[in-house]
Amino acid sequence: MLKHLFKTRPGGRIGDDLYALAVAQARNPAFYTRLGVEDRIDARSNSTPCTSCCW
Amino acid sequence: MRLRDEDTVRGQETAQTLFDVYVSALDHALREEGVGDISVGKKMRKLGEALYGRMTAYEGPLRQGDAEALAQALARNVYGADAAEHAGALARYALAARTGLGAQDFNAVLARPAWGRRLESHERPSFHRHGARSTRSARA
Repeated sequence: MLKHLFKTRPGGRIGDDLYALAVAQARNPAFYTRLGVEDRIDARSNSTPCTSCCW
Repeated sequence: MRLRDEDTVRGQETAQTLFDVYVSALDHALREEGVGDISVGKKMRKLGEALYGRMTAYEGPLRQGDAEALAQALARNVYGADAAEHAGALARYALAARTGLGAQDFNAVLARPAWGRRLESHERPSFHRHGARSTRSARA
């Protein structure tokens, strides 16, 4: 029973892992240096959710 | 989109889970910037509306592979201008990422999404030939 309680939920981990991958991609400096995306929360958040959800 | 396009329960659930993680990360980020309990909800709602607006603006051109329409939407949302110098390059990156992800099977997307690492700065015809990248050359 305890084992069941403390079992990590695979769904949750997949979300965290994918999010970490998306953030790593969105932090590629080239977005901000070469492609001129402004380093603001609402400009950055184009690359993070879009990397994760849009494409 | 790639996860939802899988059109399976697992794909839908994964897309939802990723979205939930993103929303909670955004909440944390706002709090780290010093936004208090009372206004965090309001700010989240604003960012949420902005996100849905963008998803709607990008989805059509992404599905149709319409680089020009996507560049226009990106110019408005990312660069705050109707025409922006880098919007075309960003649009081509997004379309290449979508092609790359579409060529991967679901488990490969989860492990090493092939959205491409190299971002072009100028017109590079050779970039397009590598649009559908192999998993081997793609880096997460």
